[in-house]
Amino acid sequence: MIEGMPLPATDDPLDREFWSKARDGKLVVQACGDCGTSRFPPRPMCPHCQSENVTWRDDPGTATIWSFATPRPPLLPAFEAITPYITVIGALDSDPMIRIAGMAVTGADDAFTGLTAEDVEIGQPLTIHFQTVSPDCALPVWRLGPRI
Amino acid sequence: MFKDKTAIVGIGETTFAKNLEESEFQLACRAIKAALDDAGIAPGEVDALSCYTYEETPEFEVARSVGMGDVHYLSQSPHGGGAGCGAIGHLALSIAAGIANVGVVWRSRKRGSPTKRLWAGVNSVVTDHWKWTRPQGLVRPVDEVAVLTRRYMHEYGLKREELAEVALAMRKFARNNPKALMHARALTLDQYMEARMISDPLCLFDNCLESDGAIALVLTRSDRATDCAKPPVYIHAFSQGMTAQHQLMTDYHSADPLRSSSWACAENLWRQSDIGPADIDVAQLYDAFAPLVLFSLEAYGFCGRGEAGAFAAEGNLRAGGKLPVNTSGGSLSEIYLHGMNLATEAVKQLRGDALTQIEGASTCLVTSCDTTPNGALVLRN
Ligand SMILES: [Zn+2]
Repeated sequence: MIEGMPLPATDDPLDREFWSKARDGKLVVQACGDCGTSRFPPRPMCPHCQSENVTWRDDPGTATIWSFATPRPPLLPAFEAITPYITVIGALDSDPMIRIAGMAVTGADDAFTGLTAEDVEIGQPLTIHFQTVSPDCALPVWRLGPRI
Repeated sequence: MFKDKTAIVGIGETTFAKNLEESEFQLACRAIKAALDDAGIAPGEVDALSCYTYEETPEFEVARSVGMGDVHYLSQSPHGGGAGCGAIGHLALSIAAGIANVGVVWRSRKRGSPTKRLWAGVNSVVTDHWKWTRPQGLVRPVDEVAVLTRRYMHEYGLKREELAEVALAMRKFARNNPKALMHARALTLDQYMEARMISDPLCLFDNCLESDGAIALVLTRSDRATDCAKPPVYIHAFSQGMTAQHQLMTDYHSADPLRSSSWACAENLWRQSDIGPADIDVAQLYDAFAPLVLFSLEAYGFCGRGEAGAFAAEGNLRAGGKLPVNTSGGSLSEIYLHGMNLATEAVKQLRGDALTQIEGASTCLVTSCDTTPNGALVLRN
């Protein structure tokens, strides 16, 4: 765990299924129990058919980079300590409208420090992975595939 | 019902500085008093108040300090940089509808101290929609705008040299404005290109200033406005905007993420307006981050999608260009007060007493933040 890093609340009934599966290293995406449309981030009602029936579908977690940012100081001390890092927005292969943010990681130890804008490009393949950052939280991170 | 029924009749500004001694409360009172004096209206006549939800001084404190009478309308507009035109528009609506007679809108803000930065307050546990991005490293608004700018560059081929023109044009206006925080500092393309990155592709000069100050405006009915001390500036059209599937600042979840809330706002604004984009003489476009100006130019119809970089690079944002933008230096080079200086500069242009006066300016568009729920006003003299 990175000292002082903000963490998501993982016990909200709205999205605790996501965080529960994340702790098991699995990606699930909220989907409408009636019309089946996927949505992210989670919310109580389907914007297409107004159903409150919720399902969670397993997703293989393969994606491509939709965009990315390379935050540089001045940052919160917790983030300043890990620069240079990159946050990428991954668009899922299963549904490119589902776009999930996570730090880009690389190498055998899934390190996120040391990456710069030259290491990534829009369209580059990604695979999701979950890194345990506290006893109740595993955050999504994106393993970088080969450059296109 | 609404068109031209109300007017801005007074504007007030405090000193602008990186750090001011006075409290936000004190600065608010001072700006409001200055705006009422500018209008030639006594505080006791004010019966409507409008501000930002981010405002930390409650309305009752302001009213009983400045010496207002009985107040009949109170409103707040949400989301920081998105709030300015909404706060003004709500006030205009209350007056046009006959609920109130004289309204004051203000923004007082001390941002100089690092503890006041929005992202300095990031909680150790994030419970709102930011739980999906802040722990993942998108910590500040600039990081969120960097994501959208990177995608825009990918789709439309915008170059940093073109984006630079936003900061350079604003700085040129600030160089002619002694109140502007960057008045004394020239900026060259070389300096811009070599500046340190804050969140690549956004460098230091693509970010607004850290600054303190307060601004207020006084509105009243158009038939009352002609009795005021200064020429009225009429509120011709107003809309707020929040596009379908919008998400505050991390606005990349819709089918067309680069169609921001400004597009929803613009469509409804022009629908009501007799003045179209081609008739706008000068514009004040919200510029907490330089790319927001380019995004807004496209949304409000001054150029086609993907063309704003070239439009700027042709010199169109400068005095003498097709659409002079942020003629006092804007948030990048004058003062960052969540865009309220854009509204006072619009009034100065339409009164004909701006420091860089655009000759014959009779119409002005003012906009709020592109990447939040927002608003816009068409003003005319
Ligand atoms: Zn549905």
